[in-house]
Amino acid sequence: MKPIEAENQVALGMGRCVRLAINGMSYRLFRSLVTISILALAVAFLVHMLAYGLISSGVESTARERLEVDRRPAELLARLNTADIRPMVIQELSQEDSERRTEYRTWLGDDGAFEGAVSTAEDLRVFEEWLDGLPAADRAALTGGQSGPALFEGLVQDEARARLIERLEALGLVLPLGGSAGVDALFAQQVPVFLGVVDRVIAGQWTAIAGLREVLGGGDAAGWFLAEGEDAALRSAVEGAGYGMGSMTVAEVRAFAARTRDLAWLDEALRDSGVRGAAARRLRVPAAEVTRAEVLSGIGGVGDAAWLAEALSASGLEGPAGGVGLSVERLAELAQLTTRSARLEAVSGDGTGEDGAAGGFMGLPVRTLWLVGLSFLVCVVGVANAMLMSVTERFTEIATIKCLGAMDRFVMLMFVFEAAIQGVVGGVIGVVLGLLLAGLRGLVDYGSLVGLAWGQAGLVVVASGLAFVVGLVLATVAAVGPSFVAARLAPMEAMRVE
Amino acid sequence: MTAETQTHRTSDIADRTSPDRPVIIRTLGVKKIYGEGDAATHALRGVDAEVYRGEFISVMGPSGSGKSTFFNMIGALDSPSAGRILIDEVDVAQLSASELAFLRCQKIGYIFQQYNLIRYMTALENVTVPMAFAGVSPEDARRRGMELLELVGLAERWSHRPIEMSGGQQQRVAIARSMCNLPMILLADEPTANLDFKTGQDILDILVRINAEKGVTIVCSTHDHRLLALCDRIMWVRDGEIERVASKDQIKIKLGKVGGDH
Repeated sequence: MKPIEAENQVALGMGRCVRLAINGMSYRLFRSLVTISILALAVAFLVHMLAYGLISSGVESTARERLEVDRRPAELLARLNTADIRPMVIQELSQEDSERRTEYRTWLGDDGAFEGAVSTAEDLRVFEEWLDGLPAADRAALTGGQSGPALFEGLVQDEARARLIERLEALGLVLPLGGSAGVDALFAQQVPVFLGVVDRVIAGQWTAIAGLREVLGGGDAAGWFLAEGEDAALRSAVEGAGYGMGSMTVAEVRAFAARTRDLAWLDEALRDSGVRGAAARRLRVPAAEVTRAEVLSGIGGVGDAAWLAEALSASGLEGPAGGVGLSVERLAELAQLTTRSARLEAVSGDGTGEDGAAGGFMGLPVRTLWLVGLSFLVCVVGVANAMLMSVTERFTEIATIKCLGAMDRFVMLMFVFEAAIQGVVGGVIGVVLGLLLAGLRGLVDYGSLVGLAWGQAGLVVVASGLAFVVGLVLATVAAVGPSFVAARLAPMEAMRVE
Repeated sequence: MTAETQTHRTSDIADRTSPDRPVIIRTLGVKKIYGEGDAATHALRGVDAEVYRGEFISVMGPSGSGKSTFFNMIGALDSPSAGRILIDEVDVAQLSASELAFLRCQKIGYIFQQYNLIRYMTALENVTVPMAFAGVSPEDARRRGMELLELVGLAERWSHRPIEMSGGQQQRVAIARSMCNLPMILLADEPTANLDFKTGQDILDILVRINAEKGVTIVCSTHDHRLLALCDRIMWVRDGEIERVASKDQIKIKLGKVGGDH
């Protein structure tokens, strides 16, 4: 007869535990699938929130950058025709990274005065930012609703300044720039000098423009670029006058000028009754409602432009660059450029609203971060519940296998392994699903422009990895608690828990 | 777990009739109280009992008499509030968690009223679970599992899940499972309570056969009066105390004398 030897139970190796856990899961395939689905959904939700946030912020910021680049020739041409206005100069002087500071320094031709103006401009910015930080009611009471240069010019007056300082003291606010004395000094002494320097900068710019007109001929700046001539000579003339062209090429500016000219010509051409009638027939709208935007938006390719080219040449109008009308290719190009700008405009967002303000985490907007936080909570609760359920519904089983000689360690390992496996599978499915959803939503919202978010691909991968790890860790941790409790119960206690 | 041990065991069956039979399970003043204070329930009120090696003993008593609790105590499935439980003269309370697991796995087989088969496993897989815990290789476990299923007459149903089997068949799988590590003791908690008369009889026949052929000590808690005729001794439990213990012979005599007393 076997005597009872108080032997230790065989400790199962990790491999054996994993095999038994996988075995158990394959038996309970359906239940496992439910748990995996919950995990996958939670992870997918998280990935989708993060990835879509990254895609949309990527598309918006890239679109804004592209528009900015597109706007540069327009800006240059405008500034070659007319000098900058006062508020713009003040604004640019206060911006440390402004490219125009160098231009202004050249036009002023007085480095000492320029340094003083820059320092005053920065003080004014500090003061204005301080004002912006006040509650709206206080700000209105202090400034009478004025802001920027108008406010500063007003405060140069002794009376107005005294009134402001009085009110500030009445409100008991702590002033920037060394208190009321500093503010008083800023407006009494620095600002009048500063405004004088600003006017000298503007006068200097006008002088530069006059010089350019002498060299390049009178008339519109666009005309200088459209005229025959060497690019290098034109560039050196413009830069010699103190304008910075940066990375912009003369060809870019010329293309923009030509586009503006052609579009303006097209506007004219659409006033012609023949062209207008053709457009109205084509668009199936009354002739009075024909607009250039609508005409161009209907042109998707060279083939779509044929009718317009025909109508234009039939009208006999002289084309913008000589000849008759506009070529089919040019019309298609104009349409394409117009559509591109419109689409970029549409997706760029304003980028300034509070909701759109970029936060710290992955540069996502605050609103998106809130949603991500909430989806994380949903993820936590969902996963914890799924794991809790999958352990508690198996208390009898745990009691039974403990009767059959399972060690506490095995019971725990079984559940933790199971959770980890489910976490991995659910995580992978969730990441794929989340990325698909985010991509799909991006496509729906931005169409082909979703490609603008390509720069965010690295961050999307990081976010996916993060969500995957979160799902895995959550699943495992959520299983440890209940399985620890279950494993330590005496078999009969566990059986009674039902 | 070898053929040698089995032969050795079979030769020990003679012990059952010898006057100084070795005690395999001994309880000393075992008490079990559930709950606390006024709400406390005294399931066992100090039980002193002995189970001899190789015997087939029935524990009888009405519901709530404490026989399930007693069963759990001697199976080392629950710990007593007071008193000691000695299995083969080893105090269960002194065993470590690992040694307890070894005891439950290798030395004691359990059969439950509810069968407690793992519902997602086939009959064969259910039978091999304790062997996996005992470190038996999967191949050996399968081979041995089939032998045991043969023993309980379910060899051809090895691939069925519990849900596809009748109660009696499930209980037979449970018996096969309890026997897989060749335990010294088989604890059966109301094994026939959920079964009809005929099926219950089959189960009892298997238990008797195991007792006779393998020399396994069987403790069976039951309401089933058929066991009176089948087992070696009967222990009556009432209100958490042992009311009476009698051998089969004494019962027969008693029944003869008192008539329908029970």
